[in-house]
Amino acid sequence: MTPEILSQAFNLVFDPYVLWVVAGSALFGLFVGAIPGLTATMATALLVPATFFMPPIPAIASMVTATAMAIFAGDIPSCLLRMPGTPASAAYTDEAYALTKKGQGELALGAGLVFSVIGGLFGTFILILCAPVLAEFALRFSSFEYFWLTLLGLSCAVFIASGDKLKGVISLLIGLLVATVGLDNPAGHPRFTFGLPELMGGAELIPIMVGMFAVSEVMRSSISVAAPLETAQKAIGNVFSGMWGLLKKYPLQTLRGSVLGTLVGALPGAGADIAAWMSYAMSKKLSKEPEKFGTGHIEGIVESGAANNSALAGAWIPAMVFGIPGDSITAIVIGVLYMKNLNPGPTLFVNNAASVYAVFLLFIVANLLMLPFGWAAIKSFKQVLRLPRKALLPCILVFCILGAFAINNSVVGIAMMLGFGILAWLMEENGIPVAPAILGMVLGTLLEEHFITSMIKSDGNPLAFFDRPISGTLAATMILLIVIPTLARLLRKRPA
Amino acid sequence: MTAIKRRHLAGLAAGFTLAAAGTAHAAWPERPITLIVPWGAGGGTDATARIIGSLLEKELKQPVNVVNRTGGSGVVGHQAIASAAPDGYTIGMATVEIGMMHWQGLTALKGSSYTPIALVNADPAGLQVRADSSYKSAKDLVDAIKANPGKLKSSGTGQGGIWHLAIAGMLRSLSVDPAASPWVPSNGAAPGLQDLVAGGIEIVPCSLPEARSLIDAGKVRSLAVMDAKPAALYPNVPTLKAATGSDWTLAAWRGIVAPKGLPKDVSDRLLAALEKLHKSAEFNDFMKQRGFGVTWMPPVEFAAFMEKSSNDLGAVMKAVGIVK
Amino acid sequence: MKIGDTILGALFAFLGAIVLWHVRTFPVIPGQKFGAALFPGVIAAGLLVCGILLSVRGLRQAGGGGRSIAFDDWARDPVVVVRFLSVPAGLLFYILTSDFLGFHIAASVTMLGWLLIFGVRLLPAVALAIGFPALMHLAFYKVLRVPLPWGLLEKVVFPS
Repeated sequence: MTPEILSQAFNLVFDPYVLWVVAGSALFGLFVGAIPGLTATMATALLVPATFFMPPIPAIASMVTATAMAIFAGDIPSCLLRMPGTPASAAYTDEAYALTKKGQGELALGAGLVFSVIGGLFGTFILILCAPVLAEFALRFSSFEYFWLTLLGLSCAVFIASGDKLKGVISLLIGLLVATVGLDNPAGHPRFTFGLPELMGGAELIPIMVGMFAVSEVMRSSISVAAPLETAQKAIGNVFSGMWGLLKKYPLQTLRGSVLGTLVGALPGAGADIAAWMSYAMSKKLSKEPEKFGTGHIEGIVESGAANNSALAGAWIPAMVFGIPGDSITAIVIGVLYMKNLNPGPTLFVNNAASVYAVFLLFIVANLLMLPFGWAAIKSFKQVLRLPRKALLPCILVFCILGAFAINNSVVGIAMMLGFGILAWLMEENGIPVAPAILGMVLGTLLEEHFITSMIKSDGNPLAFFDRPISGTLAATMILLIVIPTLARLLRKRPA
Repeated sequence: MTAIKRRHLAGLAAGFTLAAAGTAHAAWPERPITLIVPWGAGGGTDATARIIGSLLEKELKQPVNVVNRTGGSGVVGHQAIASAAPDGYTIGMATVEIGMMHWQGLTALKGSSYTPIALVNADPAGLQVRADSSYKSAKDLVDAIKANPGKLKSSGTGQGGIWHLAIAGMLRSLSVDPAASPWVPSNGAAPGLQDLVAGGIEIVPCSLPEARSLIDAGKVRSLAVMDAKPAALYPNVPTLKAATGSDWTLAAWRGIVAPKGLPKDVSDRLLAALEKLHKSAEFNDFMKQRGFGVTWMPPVEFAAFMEKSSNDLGAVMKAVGIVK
Repeated sequence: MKIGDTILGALFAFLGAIVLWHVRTFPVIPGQKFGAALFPGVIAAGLLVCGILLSVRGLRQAGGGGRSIAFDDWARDPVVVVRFLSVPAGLLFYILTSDFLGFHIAASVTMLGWLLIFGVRLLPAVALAIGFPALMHLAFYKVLRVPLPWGLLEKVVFPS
């Protein structure tokens, strides 16, 4: 990187028009992210027509900023209303909401914000320093490797389910079963659609998530509308206070979340949501106080909050180097790169170095801007909690309706939300945790796809799952981490 | 003086006729239009629909909202277009899958379930292998498939998807059993290409623009294009006919359709707007940048084309065993 | 509503059994030995086993608590029950009517119902039930271009 290129990049980014676009997209991203049902991917898609008429750098600036803001903003409603704004926040929604109920909402929101920024910056530096190397590595992942990775992700359910393990497994199985609905499976056969064309598209994750978290919570709250929402009593103070202490207390967790997030993000087909689930589970597994998880403990939010934002930058690694999307957001971005004559590929770094470094700079700017913008967003969003509960609940419900509708512009989404809301209410009433079911829905499709395609590729020989170097390593990790400890536990129990 | 006056009058008269025409037919469009896309945000169909949407918006002076109705391999979105009211306020982008789904019994919808407006794009299938593989030509590859049936796997879309039919049809046209290259279902071209580079499979018969970034990165080689003439994007890639002698061609196409029973005046107005934007520099620049092929067929030809496309695909699907 | 583990387990086992029975009809992938039935089959078998385990565990529970279905105290207060049921009922009402009535009318009516049932006084309830959907219309329809249905209002907003 020569000084001229860097100064060129600076000139490209610190241009009044670009900065204006960045500010506008930041507001847009916050707004979209904070609305359940509208995802960071959707924010990007909605920006596409606007970018048609922009020069390359502002076009990319708008997408980088909007997505970073949206992933953070998803934490706000998840913390205050138990309504994950984007799927990337679902992993720690319960934890954050529990903190809010304990009157520590500012801690949860502050950690979400500050560690999002740290994770985002970390991912950006990895993107700058070793994009080509990491992209080569990510490209070696075939369905065998993905199968093991997905299985590792699924075993997270064992860790995140607190309490009754058997009920946790049942919840996971329900999630997996729901993921099999529809036509989009390797065999291309419509399963469990009951002849309804709407179900051929499968179970849409977002309406289900809104239903399982938010609607079930409203149903529970409706029993005692007179009692004020716990959060309303305690004002949210300074969201930044105590953050330095958290960073000093959990430096390893922050680093772990950022590294895992970047890596998972860099793998095509796994994005911010899976990164958040895996690092939340890892945080609990490796924590000194795992018993506090789920009761409003900040440690997991620190780690997975950093993970989901670093995944965002990680996804750009294969996208820029090989034009292979790291997640659904970069799938859209690649199209825009082509349109703006910044064709992704190794040559991009040679022919268009100034633009590449301008993109890196934009990542840094967007992440730093998250601090003031995020602070303002938290301040304004928490005003909703001032409403008395009896007026707030109907507003939340209308919000849910819109979120479930917007994902596919169809009332089927709202019906899904209602059905799964009732299911989740019943599940929680009977001590069956909801989180493993959602994890099952996130990973179920991937697991099946990678298993079946691997079996076809190996002509039905299961040994192929251990043949390739990375695949074998992942299999060994899986056996060491999950199978052996489980067996050891069983063996210890036997004599007793 | 008189000349000026006459011109003036002629202008006035023209203005009156236009106004009269406007009142005789309802002044479509007078509110926002929804453009349904049966595929997800980020794909080629979505991108094409979004550029058409934003240019149509300028042309018609009404917002055109692009709405993704995804799932069910396109069934959900195509159904949504067909079942909307034929008032011109819901139109959609139909894709090649409309001629495939009905054979599988997934839906009763076919090309004739719509009011066709215009075909705007077609991308022929390519034949891609890993750059470091030993197959230097399409003929090498076909010979290898023939010699080791079942060994060389292909991927790039779902079971029975468009690229699956591309290679199956190609093999069939060369008198090779389509099952000689087993199909590994994947969730689109990008995961298939990734698996190709990772060494999991050997062939990805997707379109050239989909494989473009990896071809440019030197990771993937295209051996042939299943079209009558070489693609503008890679003029050096030979046609399948030139490489193997097979007449087989197949393209994924996209066109604008409306629900059945759209009034003639609305469809004419829409067609005129589309034709204008289709000739515009913005549209052609965009399609060129993305490497998408630009085609144009007005309603009658488009309808006949959909019919033929459906029959061709049906024949291959029967041969592969997807239609029993 | 607390359902005992024995009954709960039996329900899950039953679900697993139905799915297992149903997936037998799924086709295999042409040229392969497995297909659409494999994955749901494995999950259903898992549900069957876990359901039976839960059922057995419920049976062993002291006092036969595993076999009961019990309602919480609030279920005895009809006012609370109405409040609780109004949440799914309101959503159902919106789902069934929004296409015909349009977003604005359906959302306002549903919201007014909820507000009144939850005990908000009439005047503020009416104001909120009209104001909030209008605000949402601005955000979703205007800014985010979500095509919210106009329903009955279509003829009023777009007279032709």
